[in-house]
Amino acid sequence: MRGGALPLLAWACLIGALMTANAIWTGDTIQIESFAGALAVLLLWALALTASNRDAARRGAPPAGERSRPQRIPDLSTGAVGAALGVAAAVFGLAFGHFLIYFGCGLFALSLGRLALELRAEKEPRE
Amino acid sequence: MGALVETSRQYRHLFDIYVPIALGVFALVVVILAVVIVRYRGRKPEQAASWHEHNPLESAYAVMLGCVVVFLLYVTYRAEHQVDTVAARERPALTVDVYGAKWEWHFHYPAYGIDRYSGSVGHETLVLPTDEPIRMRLVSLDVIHEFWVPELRYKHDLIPGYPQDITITFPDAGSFPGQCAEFCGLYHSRMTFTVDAVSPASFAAWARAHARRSTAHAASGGVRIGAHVAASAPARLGR
Amino acid sequence: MNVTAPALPTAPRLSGWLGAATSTDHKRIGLNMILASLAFFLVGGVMALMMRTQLATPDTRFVSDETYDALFTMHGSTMIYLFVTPMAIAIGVYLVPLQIGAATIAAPRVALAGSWTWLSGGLIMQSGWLTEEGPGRAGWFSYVPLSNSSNTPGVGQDLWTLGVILAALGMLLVAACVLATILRHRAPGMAVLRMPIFTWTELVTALMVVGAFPVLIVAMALLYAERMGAHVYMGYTGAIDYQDMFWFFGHPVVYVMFFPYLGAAAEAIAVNAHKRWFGYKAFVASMLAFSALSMSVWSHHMFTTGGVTNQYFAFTSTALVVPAGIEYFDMIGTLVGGALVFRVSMLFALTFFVQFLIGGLSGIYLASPVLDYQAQASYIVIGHFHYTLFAGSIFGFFAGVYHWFPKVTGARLREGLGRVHLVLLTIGTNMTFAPMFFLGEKGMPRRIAEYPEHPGWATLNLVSSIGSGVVALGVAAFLVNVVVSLREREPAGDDPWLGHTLEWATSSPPPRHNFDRPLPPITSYAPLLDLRERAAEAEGAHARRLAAGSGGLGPSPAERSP
Repeated sequence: MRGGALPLLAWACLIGALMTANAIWTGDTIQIESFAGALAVLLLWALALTASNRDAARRGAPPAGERSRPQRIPDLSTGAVGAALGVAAAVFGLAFGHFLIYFGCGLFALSLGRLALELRAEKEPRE
Repeated sequence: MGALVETSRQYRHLFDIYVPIALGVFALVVVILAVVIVRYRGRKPEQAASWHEHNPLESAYAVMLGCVVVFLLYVTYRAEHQVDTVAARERPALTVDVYGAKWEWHFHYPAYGIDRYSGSVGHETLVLPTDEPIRMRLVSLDVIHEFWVPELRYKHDLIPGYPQDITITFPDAGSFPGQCAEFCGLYHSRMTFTVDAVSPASFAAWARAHARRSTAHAASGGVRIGAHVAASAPARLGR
Repeated sequence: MNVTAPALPTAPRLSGWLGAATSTDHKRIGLNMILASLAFFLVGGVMALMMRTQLATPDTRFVSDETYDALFTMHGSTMIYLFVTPMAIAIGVYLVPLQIGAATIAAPRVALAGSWTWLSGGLIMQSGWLTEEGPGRAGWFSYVPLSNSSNTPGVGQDLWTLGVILAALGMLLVAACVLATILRHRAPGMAVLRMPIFTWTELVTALMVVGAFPVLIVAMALLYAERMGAHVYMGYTGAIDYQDMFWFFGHPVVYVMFFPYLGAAAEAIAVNAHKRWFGYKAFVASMLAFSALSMSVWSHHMFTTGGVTNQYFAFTSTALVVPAGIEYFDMIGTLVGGALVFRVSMLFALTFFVQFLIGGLSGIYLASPVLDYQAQASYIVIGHFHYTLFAGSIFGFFAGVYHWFPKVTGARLREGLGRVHLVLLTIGTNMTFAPMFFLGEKGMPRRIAEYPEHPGWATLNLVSSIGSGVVALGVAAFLVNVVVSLREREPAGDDPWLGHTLEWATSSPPPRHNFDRPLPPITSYAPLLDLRERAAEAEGAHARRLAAGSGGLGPSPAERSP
């Protein structure tokens, strides 16, 4: 985790400089807006990262023996796949037929339920 | 005042700088690679050196590359200034309105009332004088098209609803193909035209001869800039 | 040493296909995307062969004009949205956790959902072939107003638009997971400035995806709304705004389609030179600069519109020379002083650097507006980007394939067949794309289904078309190599090439959580090489002590160093 926010911030500085040059040189609104959008994503990400762990903004290597929380992700996730396919079916339905939109939303809802179950099972204490 | 801006000459001038540099860089890298490959092949892994950086050398190299960039930008901006800014200030000897619509060109000479059509239906040449600046006012009547005469080494977009002026000069007489260069749908490949570049005297004669015959056509409602095509376009133009 | 605990399965075990499709193992997710991308490569390749057949002579009428328009649109769209870009991200999904000593990718379910979203988008896009008017046919960039519903009617173009949205969204989610993994899950000792070269290329790639892909999704969603009747892109401003938004994505994506393959080629070169990559710090700085610049050059695609400030974009585009030059310097610096072995992976990597250079130099030419006024929308551009993407990136891709195939499958690819593959592909790509520079110079525009009998055009087109056949043979040789190598396996072991980075410190293929043994100490971006060098030093010092008869008193220099 240590130093994780730094590449984001370094890159954000470069993007900021290029955006500033663009703003001065072109004054083109949509161009500046696009740059600003990208910059916002980077800065928000860096902020979120640092908020979750102050180490992210420090230089250096992750220290030895740093214990990260064991990841208790299941080996399979039908919920994730179902959610993706549900969204895709609904989008496909926009072009091809409303029944697909209903089907897709239904699949998405079911998959969210499945994901909720997966998340709950992960939180159960291990024996 | 100075000489007229010729897009083809500006292009050739830059081409003669960029392409030799590119070929030279390519040849240099290939030769270096060949030498290095031959020199260091077939050695035992233990013989491989362990040094792996040289920041002073690399920084100097980066600075050198920066100088190359500055040089390229200098010649680039000089040429671009000529083609985009200086040419636009020239007083044109002729103005031609260029309308693009799927899949035809309509060239209109407002000073003479001449109309020429070329593309998927018919192929009337675009007659233009040499050695004189010509203002072309480009506008599309539907989708984005692009006016390209390879001989000029220059092209520009025709965008719907927004006329844009370009200024071109033909240094040499001749018959030169032209083509729509921005994909515009089914018969994009047939949206071609031919430029007949003739001496200014020949052009004047041609224009006088055709003007008489075309004035009647213009009076009957030839297309004007800004007017939507559907209202006044000749039947041939459009989809 | 930090290996996360084994996961707790909460779903009943699904066997076979279903298990592979829903697995949260990043290696499975990555491999699925890789295989799907390869399938799309073949589909897109067939489209290319059909186009080259049509263009072989001026009078060939192999397909109708309408089909030709669909072919070039879908060829470009398939190759970009469904092959080279997703492949670049997918190889990161597989390799990055291994390279940084992580047991898994960050948010595996998001990556899994993203991969399925991408695949669905691809299938929806291709489903247009089954509709009456055919699939998308307004070009892979789908400019307005051509791509609105009055100029390009039909549900096929709608499906194309929706397909692009889903494919881009899917790739965005997957790349975000790769980024999060790099930022959060590096093993102890793996400082950001000790990450391997390939991981760095994936890092800057993921940054570009995260910065640029959302704009594409917005642009395409608005286009879909436009096609459904909303008046979004109106007049001149609308046309220019669409292009600005499209290319804000469209330029970074071509660097997404480059950096990971550059990283793969770099790893292959370093390992086959038995020398760590030269100029690491300069390389990292240049990667950050290169990728940031790539976000600022996009309107060089719009030089001829008159709607953007050409000088700014000429500046940023030409400035790309600096980081690009650094990479080449580092490549040469890696080879100099090395002990070079010419395995197929090395040969592909070297060919990548040479051929990409042609693409890169032609790119700098295009960065100059006055030169671009001639070359834009001509075959010069087609030559340029096929040299960077095919003769360049895909050769880097194959370098990575030959390099990492043993790690992924446990078996080596055949070297002999590999050389056949390389030679055919090299001849084929040069035969196909070199003539295009000359065709463009002679005035041949892109995206035309037929061309007139201008001098030289027919011969150059014929050579190019024959070349495409040679390319097809090269790809076939590769497929044969894969099948043969998997049928009659030559076991590879953990580290067949004396690799430098952590993926070689585990079994081939790696176990479910990547490392079931302690990680070696991470002392640089080439930890395994460090280990071997120190061992060699210790051995040498020990031998020297024995020879000098010192009886082993006191620590050796190698034992003293940290």
